[in-house]
Amino acid sequence: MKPKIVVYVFPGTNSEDETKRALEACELDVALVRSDDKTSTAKNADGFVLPGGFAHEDRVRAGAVAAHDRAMDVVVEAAEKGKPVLGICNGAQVLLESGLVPGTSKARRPSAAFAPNIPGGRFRCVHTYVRLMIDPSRSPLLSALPKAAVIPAWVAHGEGRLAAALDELARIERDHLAFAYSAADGDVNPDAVPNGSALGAAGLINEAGNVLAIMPHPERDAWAFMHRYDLIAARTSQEALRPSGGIALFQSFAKAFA
Amino acid sequence: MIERAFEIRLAIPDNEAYTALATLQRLGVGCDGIARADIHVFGVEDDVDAGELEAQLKTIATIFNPNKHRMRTREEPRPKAGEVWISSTEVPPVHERVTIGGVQLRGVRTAWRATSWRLLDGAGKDVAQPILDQAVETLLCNPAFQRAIKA
Repeated sequence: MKPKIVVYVFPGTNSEDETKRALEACELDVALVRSDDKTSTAKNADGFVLPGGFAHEDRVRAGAVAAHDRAMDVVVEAAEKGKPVLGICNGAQVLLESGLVPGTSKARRPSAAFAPNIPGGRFRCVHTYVRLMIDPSRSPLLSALPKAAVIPAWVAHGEGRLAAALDELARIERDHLAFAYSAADGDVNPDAVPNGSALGAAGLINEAGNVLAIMPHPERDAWAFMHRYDLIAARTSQEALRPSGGIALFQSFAKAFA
Repeated sequence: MIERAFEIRLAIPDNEAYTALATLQRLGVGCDGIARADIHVFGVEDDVDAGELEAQLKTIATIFNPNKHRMRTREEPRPKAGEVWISSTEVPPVHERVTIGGVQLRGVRTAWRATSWRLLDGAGKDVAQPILDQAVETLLCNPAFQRAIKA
């Protein structure tokens, strides 16, 4: 039987369909579940994905209201039991606001944030690459990736700059920095960082390694036609529809249930 | 240089305030109403008149729409009792000139923004400070990049 994954849909979520498609391509049984759902679908899930968008219209602060949504009670409980949880873009903001990532504070008391971009909180929409910064064995979600894996993705956010107190940033750098922005060859350098993010951070993981928050969208580079160079090179529709680099993250996520 | 503050409030129902109220009530914060406003604080040269600056701000469509906003000059560039301002922890840089929404503001050297929050009881009065503090801690402020400015 395929593992059951719930992709939560908050009011304002907008990336649920492409996220579902990428997960289904990795042999997962995926259900889109509204955050006000009263059925037991979420409670019986084996894992969760919080997709991108603008949950609750980013009211108060990106991810802040969703972090206190009743749906997150289920996610927090599941995360504490060790179930895999992945948050992408706005979903990553929700995970930081809920305190699940980096997980160094009390639940629902954030110790870090994906804050407005520098400069000027400007929305950035650019293609990027992220490099795996921890040993893959550190997390069941990442264990199928090679060391220092480089994954293509699309940045599409106005609030993706990691911000935290200096001592917390030191903790994050030591234990929780899962992905950093990089060049296509994996070179991590300041020019690759699109938003002023501290440590060049693109993705963080919790201590147990079962909760991953990543700002850029790998599901938007999951097929060749979504990749900025592969689409140009594709000569047939079959070539354009082959998997692209971003699918690797979902394949690794799926291996967590093996 | 002196600081001048302006408050921009919605004259139509404030959905963001309503969402914040519903969330705070779910978190057990004792309040029955909420009032929210955008605050713009400017460091200005001494000869800049507040009325002149307010008139300029009212021409900036990205922050003020006369059909749905009301603006007023605050007496002091700080919150009053019962109010908290949530702002970025970053220190605003000093500029040669400040431009907002394509409008260059005469005599303005620094600019920063905050969100003003007031929590109200059933009688429409400000709640006690510990309740406001609880709201700040649970929802309104993420100390990783924001500061709560109190009266």
